Amino acid sequence: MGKKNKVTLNEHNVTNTADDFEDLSSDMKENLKDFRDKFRIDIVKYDHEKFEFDMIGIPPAIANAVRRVLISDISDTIINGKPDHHLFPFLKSELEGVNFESVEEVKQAVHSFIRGHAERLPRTRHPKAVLLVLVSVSDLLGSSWLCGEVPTMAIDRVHMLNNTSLMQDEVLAHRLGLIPLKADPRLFEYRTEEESEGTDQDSLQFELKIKCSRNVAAGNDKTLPDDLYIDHKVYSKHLKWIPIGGQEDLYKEEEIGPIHDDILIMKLRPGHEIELRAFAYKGVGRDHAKFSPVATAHYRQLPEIRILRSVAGEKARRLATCFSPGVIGIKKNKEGTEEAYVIDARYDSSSRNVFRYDDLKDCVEMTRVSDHFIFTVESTGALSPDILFIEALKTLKKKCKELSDQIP
Amino acid sequence: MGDSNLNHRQCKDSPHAYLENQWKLVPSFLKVKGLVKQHIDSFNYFINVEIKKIVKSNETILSDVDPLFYLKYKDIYVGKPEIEEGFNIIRSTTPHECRIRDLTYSAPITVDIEYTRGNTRILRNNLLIGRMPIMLRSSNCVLTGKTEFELSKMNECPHDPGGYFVVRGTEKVILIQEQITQNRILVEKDRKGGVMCQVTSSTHDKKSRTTVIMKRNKYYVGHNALQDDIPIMVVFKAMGFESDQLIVQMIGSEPLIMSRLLHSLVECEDVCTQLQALNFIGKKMRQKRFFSAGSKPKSPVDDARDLLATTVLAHVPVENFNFKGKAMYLALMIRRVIQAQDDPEMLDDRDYYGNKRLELAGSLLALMFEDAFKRFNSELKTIADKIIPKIKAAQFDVVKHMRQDLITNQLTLAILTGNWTIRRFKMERHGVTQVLSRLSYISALGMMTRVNSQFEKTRKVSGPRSLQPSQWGMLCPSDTPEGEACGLVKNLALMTHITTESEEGPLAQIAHNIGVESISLISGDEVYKPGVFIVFLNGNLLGITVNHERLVNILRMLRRCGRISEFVSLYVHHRHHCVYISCDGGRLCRPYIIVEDGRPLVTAEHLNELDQGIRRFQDFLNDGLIEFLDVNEENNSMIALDEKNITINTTHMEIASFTLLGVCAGLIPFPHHNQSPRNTYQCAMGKQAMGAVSYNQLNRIDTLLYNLVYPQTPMVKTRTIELINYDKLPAGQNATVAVMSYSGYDIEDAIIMNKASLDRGFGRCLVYRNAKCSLKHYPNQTFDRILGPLMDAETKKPPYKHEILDGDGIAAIGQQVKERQILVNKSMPLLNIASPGTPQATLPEYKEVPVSYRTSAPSYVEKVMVSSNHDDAFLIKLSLRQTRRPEVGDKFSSRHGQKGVVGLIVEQEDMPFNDQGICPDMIMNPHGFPSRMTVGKLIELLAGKAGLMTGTYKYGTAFGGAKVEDICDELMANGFNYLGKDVFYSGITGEPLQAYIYSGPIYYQKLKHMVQDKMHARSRGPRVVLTRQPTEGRSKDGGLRLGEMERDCLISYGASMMLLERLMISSDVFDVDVCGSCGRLAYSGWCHGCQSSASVSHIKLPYSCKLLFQELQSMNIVPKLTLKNYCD
Repeated sequence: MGKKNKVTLNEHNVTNTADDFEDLSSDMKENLKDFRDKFRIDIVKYDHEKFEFDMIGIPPAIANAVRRVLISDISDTIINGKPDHHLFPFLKSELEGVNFESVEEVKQAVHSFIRGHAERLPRTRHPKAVLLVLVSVSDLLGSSWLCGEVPTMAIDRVHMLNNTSLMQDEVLAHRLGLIPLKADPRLFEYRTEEESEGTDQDSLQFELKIKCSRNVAAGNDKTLPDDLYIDHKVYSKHLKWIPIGGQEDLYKEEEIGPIHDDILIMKLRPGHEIELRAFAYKGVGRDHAKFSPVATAHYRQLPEIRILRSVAGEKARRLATCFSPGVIGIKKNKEGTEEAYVIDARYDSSSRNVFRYDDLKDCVEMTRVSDHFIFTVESTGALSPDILFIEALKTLKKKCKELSDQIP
Repeated sequence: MGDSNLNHRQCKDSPHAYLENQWKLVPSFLKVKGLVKQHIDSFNYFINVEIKKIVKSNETILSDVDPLFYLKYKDIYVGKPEIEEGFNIIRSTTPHECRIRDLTYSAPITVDIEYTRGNTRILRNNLLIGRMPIMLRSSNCVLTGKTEFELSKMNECPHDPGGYFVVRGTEKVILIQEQITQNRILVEKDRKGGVMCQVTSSTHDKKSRTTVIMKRNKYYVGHNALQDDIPIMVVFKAMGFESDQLIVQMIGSEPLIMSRLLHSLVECEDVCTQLQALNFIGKKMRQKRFFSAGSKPKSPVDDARDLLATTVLAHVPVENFNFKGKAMYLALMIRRVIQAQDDPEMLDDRDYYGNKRLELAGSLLALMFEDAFKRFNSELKTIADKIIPKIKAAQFDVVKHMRQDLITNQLTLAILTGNWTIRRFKMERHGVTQVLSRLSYISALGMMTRVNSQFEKTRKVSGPRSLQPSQWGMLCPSDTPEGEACGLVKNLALMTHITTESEEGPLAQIAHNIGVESISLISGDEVYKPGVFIVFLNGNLLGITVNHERLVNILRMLRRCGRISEFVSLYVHHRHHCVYISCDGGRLCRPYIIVEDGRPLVTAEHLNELDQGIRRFQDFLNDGLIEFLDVNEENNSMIALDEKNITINTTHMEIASFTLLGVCAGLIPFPHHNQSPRNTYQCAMGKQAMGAVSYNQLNRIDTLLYNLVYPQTPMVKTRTIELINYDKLPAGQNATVAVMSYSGYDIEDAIIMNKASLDRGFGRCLVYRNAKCSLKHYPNQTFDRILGPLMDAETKKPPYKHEILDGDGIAAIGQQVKERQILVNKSMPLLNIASPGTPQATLPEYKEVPVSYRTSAPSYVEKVMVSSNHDDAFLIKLSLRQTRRPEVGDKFSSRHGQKGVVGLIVEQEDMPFNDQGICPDMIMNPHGFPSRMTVGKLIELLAGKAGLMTGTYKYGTAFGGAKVEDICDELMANGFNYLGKDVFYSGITGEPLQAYIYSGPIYYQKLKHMVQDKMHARSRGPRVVLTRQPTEGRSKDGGLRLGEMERDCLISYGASMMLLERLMISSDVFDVDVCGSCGRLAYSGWCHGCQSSASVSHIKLPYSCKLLFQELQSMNIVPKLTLKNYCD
């Protein structure tokens, strides 16, 4: 890779940040094959909530598009109509295949998924360069078999039957809304405004019924609220799912409900009582942050550190402290003095603290690779982050298609 | 200079670690005294001590008619607060009950009396004469000494400072009033530039002002009871000092002074004897307007003698017409004038804080009570005079004529209205009390420390407004409003204490024992000998001393070991050759650590004991480790800021330097890095910030209450924040701020907000309002009533207006109230004109007078209270609640006087993000920094960021707090850039930003100004009946005024049709007929003046113009209109 796609971190500014988009796209148009060869996704870390992978060989605009879609835009494109109920079993099997145990498995699955569809990349579908790139890239990234939509379910409407607690109805409702729910949003429809009652197709009903009382069994020597009162803390686990219509047959008890049982909603004191019905609907992050499927979705460009001239002795140790641990190592060189070398710049936090020392600041050059994105997707838990990513790509692709269809 | 360096070294050589934690004395000081100790101390003094003194000095009532009749007060007590619940059921009450039921939190004033009924002498104990409003947390308040648990049972907040009154449900503060000191000699320049000496004397029953001035090289005494100024020699002679030598010796026999007196001596050659002088004065006396009935007018000589004895320099006691003390005092005044004429340094500074006294609730109430008590007594006397001569079956019993409501009403009304009218001093002050602002905890606290000066706000003088060096440590240098009251309204610093009076007698005795020779024993000449110091006690001449150092040292020692009050001030004035001993009330003082031999007496050991709870603040005082210094005594002290600065001459050391700021300025982190006006701005804005008000905030039903849904303790705290419990009742949230420009919607201090943050609850607030009504009983046996909701006969549903009503006719709790809906369906009986004799056969007719909801934005009913108020009428209060999320135009501010409105709300994905994926909650434009120079804000961000990393609060205490270098190290250790600047990626393009972004948490306050309460527009709407012009103001759906300046613009631009349209057509256009021949207004085509319709024309005119013509006509002025054809 040439100097061209390196972002340089100077003492006071960042240079070479933006690649000329036009330039890049025309590049890509000509060298689509090149791009296909170069483009890579490496999965680095995966667990059920956090997903870190590298996306190499794409312009920042596209990486950003993915990020934006993840945060709020997922399924901005809504297909009208009922969900395909015959697709349901198929979808289910697809999903089951994605809940993996090890990082390796995920890696393989995502790769096969992406590679499998990359073969069908159209050569030149549209004259407009930008669009072409977008469409082709998203095509490359995403699949075409199902137009994705991954919004989330969140409590959106609360019927307050009784609330004698200290918390105001609106505040309580707001807090309930922010609790992440365990329910596959792909199995639900968007709620239409005309309907006053939710149906089993579009809503989930929960009940919260709790009353705090004094613990009669507590001894006189007890002073802590935990001993004195019963049910004085309302947790998310107290939300009880009440199936509507045929939901009982469709979902199992453990499939629906708050993801975390221990989210403290509020505290009560004896005599306080809450009874409410909460309705969760499907929505997108753009409407309200509670519908966002991710806690964070962001990327950073791969840092690179180059030691320009040899740094030895005390200076070397000092240099090491300027970077995150494990970035700069110290080894004995031929002369037997301790010299600093770069072990791995990947996990450097780019704190640029070398610039604090005048004698060290021109010994290193810090750059970031502008087409290497270290993506992190942290799910709120409704869907695993890898699915979120794939869904994001689908959405992106759909958007590109919509746009390209509108351009003659 | 060299000397002090030497001393430095001496101290440093000693193997001695500097004290570090002496600031811990501040919390222990505040624990004893509380934050509003000034108010409470003063009120306690009043109800426990001063009230007894007042009664003592007005103890007997005699009748002019019956010489045998007398009434004598033996004692007076103020009890515990209680309320009367009708049928004479009396029970104790709590402040909170009074607040929500619109009652007065007051206690009975009872007296023990002895009086005569006929020929028998009767003793009566515990006789109620009135009710005294009780200050919260004072000695008689039910809250005093209660634990947090007990307070919570009484619905009271443990952090509420008290110090205010609850009168008819409103919380009222008697503001601290600043006054020029009384009973002290003040030498000043008068308006013409001459020197004048002024003494304002004030005793229990007299207030007078005596001046000494020089006119045409002669000295005169002026007084407000005298028509003319009197030559000084005449005054001396009237006092019985007839020899010129004696007089001159009293003033001073230095040649310079003697030569100055020459003209005055010559002037009164004619007046030689005392009688002549008294006659002279008697003629110049202002005529008394009223003579008290019965007493015969005195001769002018007697009048003059009385005047000299009691009124001129009233505070100097004259016993048996022995004028020695008073003459000496007057002589000293003249001497000061003469000295000041030659030496401008002898002039006193009026703005100097040692010459100021602060008047507190206690002393103000004492004035009011004495006035009421005197009126009460004189009323009793007139009743006695009137009734005793009449022969009646029952003997005259004065107790039956004692009305309680006189004293009660005068006290409550004074506090309620703030009008302080004291008849005997002819004093009339307005705005003495204010409603306690409960906007935020800080605003309530800030109000309790506010000092109001009596100075006129309109006058353009800088002296009283500017910051005086003597205010150091006593008054907050930052906390003052901007604009007209700037510098006149001040705030106390954190540790300031205001003294209450203590006994003078013992002090005088001690002073005499130490060697002060009484002034009555000496002639004039010795007084001014070198080395002789005159000793004053509270502005009165006590005597002279030859060894002033011994006097002061012994008294100081006595004070330090607690034998005399710790608030006695000893002040040696070397230029005046005077020792001023003060024990009067209203002086400002603060505690200092005593330093002896270059060592502070407080040691680390003592502080350990303090930590362990073995020692309290009072122990430090008792052991003579700490003492209080007032503004005057500070001048005799050498006070080191910290231990490093101690030299061998140092006498005292500061306890903590941050205490020089007040409560409001104490919230600012790193205020010593900010440009000074920024701190002042924050002091004003902290009072408008929303947050938690008190722990009982949800039990209160206030007219307006703002709450934050999720208030947070600031990441960067100060010691003051912890001391005043701001961390427990905060008003703001820690926002992650990125300092960068974004989108152009952030110019002029506008703020960019992250929508996701708002979704998650940032800046969300609750607004509570109340609705109130009472159901009255009327004398004709009718009463107001509430009816349930109306029901539609067919649908069985109530109409829109009654939708939210419960069965009892009051809105149900939890209901959403929309515009024009009815909250309380009250109706009122119509006045029956039928004669009262006819029996009320028919039910009275009722008129609906519902309480309806007028605001356009809906609210929810939070709670409903049904109770009874002070006149036993039903009282219904509703609390209405709104929840608001920030919107474009809402005002926010950091703690550095940097306010801004929300300019744009941005989706989270459009916000920049950093390597860790952090999106800021808020983006602030960096242009806010260079001109404002709020470096403290930059450091707050840095410290907050480091605190986040380590999970600790950081301190930004004034003149201390975290060091930037340490913060940088901490940031670096946690993998952040040491400058606090990170790489950010644009949320829109996805590329890294070219600049590093300074980002981190800054504590942001949401201010009470919200667009929802302000937005307003109108096309057509209501008009004023009189002028037919559109109404004014948002509340009346008024029009937007095209003002003078806007009019000027249109005129200068020449947009005449626009002008006509704005000023007439869109406002109050009116069609009139005008008679062309007589020029007057005609009516429907007919001129009544000319009796013709020949030349009547039809024109358009502003209605207000027509109105003016008619009003002028009613005053016999006839305006005439001259009409001309447009084409001519």
